[in-house]
Amino acid sequence: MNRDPYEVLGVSRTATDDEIKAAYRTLAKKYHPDLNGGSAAAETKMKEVNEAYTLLIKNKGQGYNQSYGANPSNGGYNNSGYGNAGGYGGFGGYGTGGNGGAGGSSGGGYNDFDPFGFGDFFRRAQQQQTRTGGQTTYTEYDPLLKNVEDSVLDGDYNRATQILGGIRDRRAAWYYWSAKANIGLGNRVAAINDARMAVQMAPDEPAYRELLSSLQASGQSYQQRGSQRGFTNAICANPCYSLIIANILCNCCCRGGTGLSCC
Amino acid sequence: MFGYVTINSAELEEKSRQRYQSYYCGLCRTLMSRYGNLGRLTLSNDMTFLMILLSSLYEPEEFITEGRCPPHPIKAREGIQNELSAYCADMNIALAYHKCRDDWMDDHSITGMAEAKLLEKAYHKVEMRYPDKCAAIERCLKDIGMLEQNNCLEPDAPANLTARMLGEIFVFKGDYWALPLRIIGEGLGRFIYLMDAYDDLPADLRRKRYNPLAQYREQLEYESLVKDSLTLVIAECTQAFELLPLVKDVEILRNILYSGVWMRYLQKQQKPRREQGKLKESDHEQRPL
Repeated sequence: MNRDPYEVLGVSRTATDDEIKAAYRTLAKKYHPDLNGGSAAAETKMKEVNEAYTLLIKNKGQGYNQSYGANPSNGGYNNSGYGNAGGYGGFGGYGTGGNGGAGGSSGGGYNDFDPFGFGDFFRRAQQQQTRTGGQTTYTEYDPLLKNVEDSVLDGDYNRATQILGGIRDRRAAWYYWSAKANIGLGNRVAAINDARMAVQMAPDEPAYRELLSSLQASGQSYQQRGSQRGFTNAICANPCYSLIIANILCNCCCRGGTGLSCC
Repeated sequence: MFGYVTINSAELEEKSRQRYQSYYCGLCRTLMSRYGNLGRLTLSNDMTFLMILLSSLYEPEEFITEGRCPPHPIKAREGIQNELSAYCADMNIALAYHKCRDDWMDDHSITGMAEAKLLEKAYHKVEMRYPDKCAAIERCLKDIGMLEQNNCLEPDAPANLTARMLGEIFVFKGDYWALPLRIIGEGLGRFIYLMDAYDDLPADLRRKRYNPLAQYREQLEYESLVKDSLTLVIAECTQAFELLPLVKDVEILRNILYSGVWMRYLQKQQKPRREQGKLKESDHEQRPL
């Protein structure tokens, strides 16, 4: 597509997500093939509108605005869009099924048409794994962990899990690599648990904390989005030991319209 | 399935609350007309959510009916029906049928057996119409059953299978929006499975029943782990949700995803602090299956 997507949808560069969606709706009704007797011109138009919409909505918060010269001034809401939410780059597919199935290394394993780049999203997870390769990888205390690292970088998460299972001496580094293998396998609870264990055992290690907070990042944007939408019951980002008090706090700040996140 | 995917009515405007109620009643009426009174008893919040989601996305023409029903004989209620009603009702039957069968297999529940037997005919009709969907549901549930039999200690495997099942159901047709819909369904599937395991853990421990969170229970940070996990999976769901061009009734859907899904969780957190009873927040009928 060559035209400026903002122009195609007829919205300003500072348009919010909701404005983009409303504009899309109007145009989709106008050019829907069923309503235009299957006219080829309408179909081309519809395709253009779909592409423009997808481009704008999926690139929210990925600097797309800047490259189009806009000022991303939507009170930070853009930043919690799909693009950079998470930071862990997404999970692998769910191919494990618990039976040692196909594994999740194929990048999601979805067969659906993918204009939104979910596939890329999963692939990014693997690139992210690669990037840590240059840094210290904490494999010194057990040479087997080096094999785990290689398997994770190769995307062979089942093998990584197998090797990990054979290591008896489980220190923080073991949990760090186990978390990474579980991310690749799409095992969310296990990944969070392992990352927590690594941080608990070696609280001063920045890489472990980084891994854990990357797993918590999409949850935090979720809570932010929730409280920006005025929901007070969306639970708080960090463990709140007294939820009742937290709720009162939520009521105060969110009802006041300041949009602060509650904890 | 379990009634977690519901609205937080305290935070929904009256008009939207009415709309939600009307979708609920509409789906109930579709179930009634297709499968009789028995079909109506299977009505679930999850499929009401799917109905609103798909209706918001595809915006089909609405038919509003007014009527009374046994639970609400006095006041007539509006019901919304459209061309998506039949699909959602059928998926509702498929899930309900398997749920009853599972109850029967797991707990030798007599009512489960009776209901499954009664639903069998309805299910076969659904199976004829949507063989692929039903095959996927059956496969996932069979695999989950096997994991439970083998006392699988990791909650992720069965949660991912539930995700796959709901993802399949959420893809109404293989169009431009198929993948975001699938990911929304998957996120909800994971959330429902984990929430259910968390909810049932005390009872399961008492009765020495399978629960995939049992091995984590002993950990110091069990509560935080559960909360982080639930938040992560619902976050993945809403990330895909926010990509869809939804305008109509979007406030209802957001209310459910950002607030309603946590109702049961918060209730559980606050329960020990309050007296028992009087904890029902929802003002619409919720019939546990």
